[in-house]
Amino acid sequence: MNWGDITVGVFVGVLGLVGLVLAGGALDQEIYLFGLGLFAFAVVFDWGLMLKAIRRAEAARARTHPHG
Amino acid sequence: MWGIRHEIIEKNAILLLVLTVITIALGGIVEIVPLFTIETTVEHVSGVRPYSPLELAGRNIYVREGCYLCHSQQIRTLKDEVERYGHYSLAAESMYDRPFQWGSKRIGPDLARVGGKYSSDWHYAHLRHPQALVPESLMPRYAFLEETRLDYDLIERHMATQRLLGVPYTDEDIANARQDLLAQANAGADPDALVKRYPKAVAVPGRAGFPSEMDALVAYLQVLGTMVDFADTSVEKLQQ
Amino acid sequence: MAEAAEVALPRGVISYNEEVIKKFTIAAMFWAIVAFLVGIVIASELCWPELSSGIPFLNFGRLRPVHTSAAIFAFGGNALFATSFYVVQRTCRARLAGPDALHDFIFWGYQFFIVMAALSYVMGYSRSQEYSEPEWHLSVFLVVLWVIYAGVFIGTLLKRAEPHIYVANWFYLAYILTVAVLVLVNNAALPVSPFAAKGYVVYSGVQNAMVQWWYGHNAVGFFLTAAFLGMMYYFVPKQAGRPVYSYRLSVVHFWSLIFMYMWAGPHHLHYTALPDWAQTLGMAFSIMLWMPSWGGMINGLMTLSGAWDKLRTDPALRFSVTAVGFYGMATFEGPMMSIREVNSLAHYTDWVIGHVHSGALGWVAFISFGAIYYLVPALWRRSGLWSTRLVAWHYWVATLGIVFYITSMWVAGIMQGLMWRAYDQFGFLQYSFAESVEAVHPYYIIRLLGGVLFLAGGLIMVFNLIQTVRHPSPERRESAVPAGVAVAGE
Repeated sequence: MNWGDITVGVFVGVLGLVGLVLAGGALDQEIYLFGLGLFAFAVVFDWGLMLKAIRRAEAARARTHPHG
Repeated sequence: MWGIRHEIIEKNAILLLVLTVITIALGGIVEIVPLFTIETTVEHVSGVRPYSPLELAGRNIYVREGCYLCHSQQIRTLKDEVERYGHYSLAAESMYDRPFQWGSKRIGPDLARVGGKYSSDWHYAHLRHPQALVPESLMPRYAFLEETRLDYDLIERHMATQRLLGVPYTDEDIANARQDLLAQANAGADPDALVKRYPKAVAVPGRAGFPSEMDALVAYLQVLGTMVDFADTSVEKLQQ
Repeated sequence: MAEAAEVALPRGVISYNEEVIKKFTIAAMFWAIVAFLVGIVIASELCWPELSSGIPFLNFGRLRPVHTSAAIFAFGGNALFATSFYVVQRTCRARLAGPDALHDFIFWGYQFFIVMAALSYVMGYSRSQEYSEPEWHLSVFLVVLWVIYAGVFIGTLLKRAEPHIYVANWFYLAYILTVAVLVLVNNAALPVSPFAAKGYVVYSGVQNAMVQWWYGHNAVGFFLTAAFLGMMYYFVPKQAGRPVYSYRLSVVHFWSLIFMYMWAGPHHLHYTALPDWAQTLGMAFSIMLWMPSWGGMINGLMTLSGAWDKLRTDPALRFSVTAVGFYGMATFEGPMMSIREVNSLAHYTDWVIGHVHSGALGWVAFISFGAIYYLVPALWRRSGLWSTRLVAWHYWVATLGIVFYITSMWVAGIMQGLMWRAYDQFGFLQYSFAESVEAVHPYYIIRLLGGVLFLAGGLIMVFNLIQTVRHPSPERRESAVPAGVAVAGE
């Protein structure tokens, strides 16, 4: 378990939620765009973190189980 | 010898950090703090008032369009400048300006005292197509402002926020914000209540009930530099 | 990006985070081209105003902040992230503090900030305070990012294996701390609503003006000067293969520079409604500032002693050394322009623009080019750049561009200043404002040409760097080391 990555992932996830709230109550185009953008950023960034974790786990498994 | 003392700083990141913060803080403290404590920084002249709702909306358009990038609003204490533009600018004249729009570049002329120099019709024509009136002008066309309806949904919140920061809007001002805005954007309307709250406010010839962004901008331009009556001040009052 | 297989490193060998530095380096070059391009667009609009055709998001007022932000924060900022992370790791012999995900957040978060800020200006949201245009919501995001950056940089200093903090890091640390202070103070504002992108700055009028130009001049002094001096202090000695000329000079000029710069702001406000005492203080410190600045220039240039012949064979070093020369020029011109009487002519004119670009193109861009030309082969494990001839071409094309830019702006600026104050034989002002606008038109075209040349140079560099990454040079590096491992003696 990579606690560093998990902490960063949670933090960015919170930012994404903040973005969603801002976009939901937006009174002008800019806050709407910023909120949605922040949410999209969080989704893509956290997805990237998860992908890295999965690849790391697969590589580690490949080393201990070379023949599957 | 003092080289050994500096080595102490170089081997201690926190010490380096603390000494750096102290070193960089001094200049700002000395130059900024007294501007709030020295009372005469803002001259004791009368006439300066908060912007009317329409002028405030117009000012926000001036700010967002980046007009300050080509137009200054600060007449310097230089002979040729005073002759070209009028009395040099006082700190009092921008005391309620958030943000200040003194500018730092003149690709177009200074606007500190443009209020009242041209008719509102001239301003509308100039904003639509600057080169039609000034062939050498480098200004872009702002006809889109006339086609954009002014969004003044949040005008009371704007004024309330400014009041929190020290601008003396009264409850009456905020309660009448929409009426005052619509009255000023329509030259046919009765200006009495508006002018009572905002002396020297200029009504612009907008379409009744549908103020455009250009109406707001022109109302703002027409008040610039007009608030202080220089015939009514004295040398003492202008001292900082 | 494929994850490198985890290899057990020999004891005592440090693994640096170079992936994030690679990203920042690529971003720096990308935004450099964007910044130069937008600069050319707005320069063209000042020659032929009909170009924006009345379209709101294409006009000068909305695009100028895109250009200045792209140049300072996108190009300059990414170059500083790249080099500060490279320098702090290597001079501390420590991997960047914190989890890699945090470094990736700094990178992607910063690019997000850049894109959002540019979009906001174009859509018509701006604080209208120079180099501080992003509205409150973006300022908050930047502060969060910056605190994390400071934590990572300081954390790396704290876990260093090398007891002495190298001089480049003093400058990087000073810039990180000062920018935090500057942004927190200058961007203090009250939003109209948490759901609206409009805030009112807490200061007004003359106090706002003072805070803004305390900020604005130190954005230049720390973001564009102190930080890039940090870059210089690492890459010039590395490229020259010589130690820094004088340790004592670096100590003296560091402390005096960071102290004095903070007082220089009022020279942007001569003859305005800012009280005289503040103007005089600003002028005095601005003039004194010439000395620590030239201390830095001397230290940089004299580091070449015994190695001047390298300038014949290493075109990338030419960029770094020329940068230091332009730095000296700009930091002499600045104090001169800070003198009240000189400023009475220069203020509001294109002379200021000329001064800005001699610093921005001659110092900031050139020292960045020198560093990036060094970094790319190092990071991608190439024995050298794909073509040194292209570097030479870049150098001459870009230098010519700078010369066209600054000379045209000197002429335009002084002409404007003189025309505005000219009286005829009857004692009336001789020229209308419009006549001064017409008079500088040819110089605006020359300035545009200067910018086009500078862009061309930048494109040559991008091409050369892409080829360097894609094609390993015929000569292999002596020892093949796994990615991220420190080389002894680095």
